This record gives sequence, structure tokens and C-alpha cells, in this order.
Amino acid sequence: VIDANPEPDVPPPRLKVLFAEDEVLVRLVVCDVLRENSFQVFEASDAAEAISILKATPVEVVVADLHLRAASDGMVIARHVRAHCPGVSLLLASANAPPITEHFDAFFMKPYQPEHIVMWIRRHHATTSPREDSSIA
Amino acid sequence: MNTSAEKGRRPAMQTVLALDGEVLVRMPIAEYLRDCGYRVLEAANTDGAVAILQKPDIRVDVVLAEIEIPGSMNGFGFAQWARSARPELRIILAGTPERAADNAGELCDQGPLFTKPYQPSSCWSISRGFSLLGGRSAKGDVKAGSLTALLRILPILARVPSKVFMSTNLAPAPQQSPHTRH
Repeated sequence: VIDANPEPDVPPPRLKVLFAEDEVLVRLVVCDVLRENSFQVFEASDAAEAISILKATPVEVVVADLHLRAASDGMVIARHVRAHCPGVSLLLASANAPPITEHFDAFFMKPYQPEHIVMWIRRHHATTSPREDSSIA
Repeated sequence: MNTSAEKGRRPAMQTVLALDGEVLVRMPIAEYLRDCGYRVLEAANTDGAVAILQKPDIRVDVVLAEIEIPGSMNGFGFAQWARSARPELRIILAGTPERAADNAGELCDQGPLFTKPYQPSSCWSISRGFSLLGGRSAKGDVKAGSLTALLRILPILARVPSKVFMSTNLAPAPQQSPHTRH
């Protein structure tokens, strides 16, 4: 069967990442690296913004700082993801020890290299990775 | 992890700082401007914007801000500070989400539309937005995007349900054509 009206120039879907971090300069640097690696990145500065985005648009990966403006903001995001976003990868970051009460897929101790997040996403979302020819070892 | 990584990174890319306290307004406008070819930095309040502008190695060409912005300054106070800190900065204040969307559309009319690392997806997504809403789908029509067109496109670009988007006091979209599909 030949499609008489194929969608012209339909791009492959980009992996969607929600990045929640209240420190604007950290958010800027990490989001830059994620976008340079072809991910579509949505930025949230606190838990309320993160949950608003999650309710409005589906994502494949959530990266959340555990300690946003409120001490437990990151945990609020984590619980929302686990309760309402099945199948979404949850990555947490903190300068302190990882939480023992929440299930998460990866933990990054601050300060971390943004490329490590890229590598983790590529490794665990290989089939939907936007760029298979990763230059990162 | 520091902003020294800014140095030498995509030096020719025009950069917009999008400053809005409502994430469901800021996000689709930022995505729209990225699709237009801008690098977009986001800040949810004036304190975040000040932190960015205080870093001389972070390039910012245009600030697109709402007037009633959260933070220690309002939009006018922030604009006054920003002009003194970076006299070359172009500052665009919006009093309403409609005006912010209109300003973004004007930036895309004037700005580096698809002039930097060109992604066919950008043009495709916008032209498909026109098509889905019964508008013209020719890629060349993108620059003709008025506020009305922009308001109709933004929810699609961000995949934000209309009822969510409308809750931000955006003006109702014009009557859909009979060919409109959702």
C-alpha cells in the first residue's frame, strides 16, 4: 500500500526531558547541554512549575533537584511522577545523600557533570535516543 | 559545572531571556522562539534574571519579560536595572500574556528565523500547526504569523490542552474553520 499523502519532512520525535532546578545558572548550563544533545527540554524552577508541566505535556525523563526552594520540593516531584507518570524515568540530584524512601532510577551527587545525565538517558532510552552516534564515551 | 562553558559556545546565536512567572505561558513562548532559531534562557522571576545578566560571559541580546513578574523587582524596576547593567540590551515588556505572545511573534518576524543550525522539524511543526487549525500550511507563511496565528499555534507546539492554556487569560482563539481537526 502506498500512502498517497505522506507527511512531508516529518522529523523523528525528540526525547522530552523535564529539568527541575531552582538555581537558575545550574539550570541554564545543564539545559544547554541537554539541548545540544538534541533532547527537548522543559524547565521548571520549583515543584509547582514541574507538576504544571507534567500535567500539560508528556515527558519521558524527569530530572529533579531534591532541594528546591522548599526543602522537600524534589520529593514532591518524585511522588507525583511515581503516582501519575508511569514509565517515566526519574533522576534525582542533590548535594546530600540520596533519599531512602522514594524509588528513583538514578541519583546524581552534586556537583555533577551534565554529560553524565546525557549518558544515563542515552543508555536507558536507546531505542528512542535522538542521536545514536554519541560522541560521549 | 560553571558558566565558563558559555565562552565560545554558539557565539553567533541570538539569545532571548524569557522572563515570566507563569510556566505555562513561559514554556510555549520559549519553545516557539527556539523553533524560530533563537537560543532561549528562562527565568521565573527577576532574581533569576538578574543572576543571569550579572554574568558577563552569558550572552543575552533580548529580554522578553512580563511587567507583573515575581521577584524583588517588578518588570519596570527590572528593566531600569537591566538597562544600567547592560546598556546594549533590548528589553521588551509585556503587560499581558497576549502581548508576550505577540512580542514573541514579532521577534520571530525580525529575528534569525531558521538561520542557525536549521532543523526541518521547526518549520514542520509550525506549518503543521497552521494545517491542523485550518490555516495555510505553506512554510513561507510562517513569517506572516500574527498574534492570532501565534495564539492558535502555541498550544499545539507545547501540546498544552486548550483549557489549560486558556486558564492563563489568553484571549479566545478565533472561530475555527470547518476543516479544523483536533
